[in-house]
Amino acid sequence: MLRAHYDQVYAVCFRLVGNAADAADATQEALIAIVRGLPRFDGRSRLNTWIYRIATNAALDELRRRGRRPMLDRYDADDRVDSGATQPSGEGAVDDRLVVDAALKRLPVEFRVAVVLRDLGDLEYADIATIVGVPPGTVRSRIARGRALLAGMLAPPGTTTLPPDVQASDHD
Amino acid sequence: MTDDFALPDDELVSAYLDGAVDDVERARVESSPELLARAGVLGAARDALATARPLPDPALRDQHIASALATLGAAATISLTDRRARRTHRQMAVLSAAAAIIALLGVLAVVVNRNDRESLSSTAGRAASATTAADSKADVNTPSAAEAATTAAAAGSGDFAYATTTIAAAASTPPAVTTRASDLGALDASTAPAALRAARDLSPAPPPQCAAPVGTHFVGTATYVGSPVLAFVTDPDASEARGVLVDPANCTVVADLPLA
Repeated sequence: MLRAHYDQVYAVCFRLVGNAADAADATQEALIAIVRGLPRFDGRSRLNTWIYRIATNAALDELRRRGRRPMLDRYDADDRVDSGATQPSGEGAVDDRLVVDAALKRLPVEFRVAVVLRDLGDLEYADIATIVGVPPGTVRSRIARGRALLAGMLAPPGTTTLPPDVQASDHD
Repeated sequence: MTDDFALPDDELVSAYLDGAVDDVERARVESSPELLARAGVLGAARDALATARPLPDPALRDQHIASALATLGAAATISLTDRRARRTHRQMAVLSAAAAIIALLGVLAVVVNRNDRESLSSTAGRAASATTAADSKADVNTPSAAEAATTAAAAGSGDFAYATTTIAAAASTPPAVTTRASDLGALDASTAPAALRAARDLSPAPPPQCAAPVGTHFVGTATYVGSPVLAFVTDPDASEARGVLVDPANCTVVADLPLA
């Protein structure tokens, strides 16, 4: 069961925390919580939803912990190239992932969580609402706003104008 | 942060991409070239995120899974070790308290032999204070240290000498208490969050006197600002990590602390 869900857990953690080192820590914490919490899983939600909730909480905990670390810890080699984590199709795919990584880091956390759980986790709005603890309408809005910002940041230069605070800010 | 795009239409278009629209909304999007074009733009962002998926190092995957599974065995071992350690800790606490009291009684006996009754009453007062101090150091679930001292003192003169030596030796050995014991120790507002966070993965048997607050599970006992409490933490799937300390006397919440 852990192997079946590991890649998704790691992907969600990586997309939420934005670098491999913190993603590894968050993933490990999530797996431990899954193993220990499984006896208490009561089936009120789907297993997939429950696992993504744990992964999301682990990633958010890691982000909060990172917020208390010195600035130096936030920049390391893994932020640029994730060793061993390349797509099999070659350099173009790696570049795309790095561009997406950079764009995601600039999203506000609440938008980032919603977009990642929807587009990476393929969860329904109701499930995301359960995980995040907001109404489905809020999830719908956050996903839309997150995608709109991502689209602006991923668009070729000169085709989209972003609000100045998005251009200048880092939302970790 | 602002995001000054066409928000109402973006929400409709985004929901359309997810199939989360009704027939009226779908028809509105599909009848509008502008909205369909916007759907293409947002869809490209969605697809970029979905396809550029970060892949973990296979060795890291194996390591993480092995470590997580190892906690199952470790948890069972810790639970048994924890019980043994707590039992040993209680025994050591009782013996330490008994040793202190016996030493004081020995001093008292010497003083009685040398002085009159007035000197004895003032010394007994000091012994009572020492007894109270020794009791407060013992585990909350241990028998009274005074009872233990009485039992030890009643063992007989020959046994008394042996017991004194044994107790003294035991008192000089630090109790073998593991850091994972469910007795979380003395906490206050500044130390409680870290202690509860560290104990979050523990799951000892729940206390009989108080039910766990909704969404939490029992992790151990402690004292909080000097008063005994039962410690609960939120389950792993909770949206926010919190620690809840409950007064065992009346099952009321003493403190509700964020753990992040």
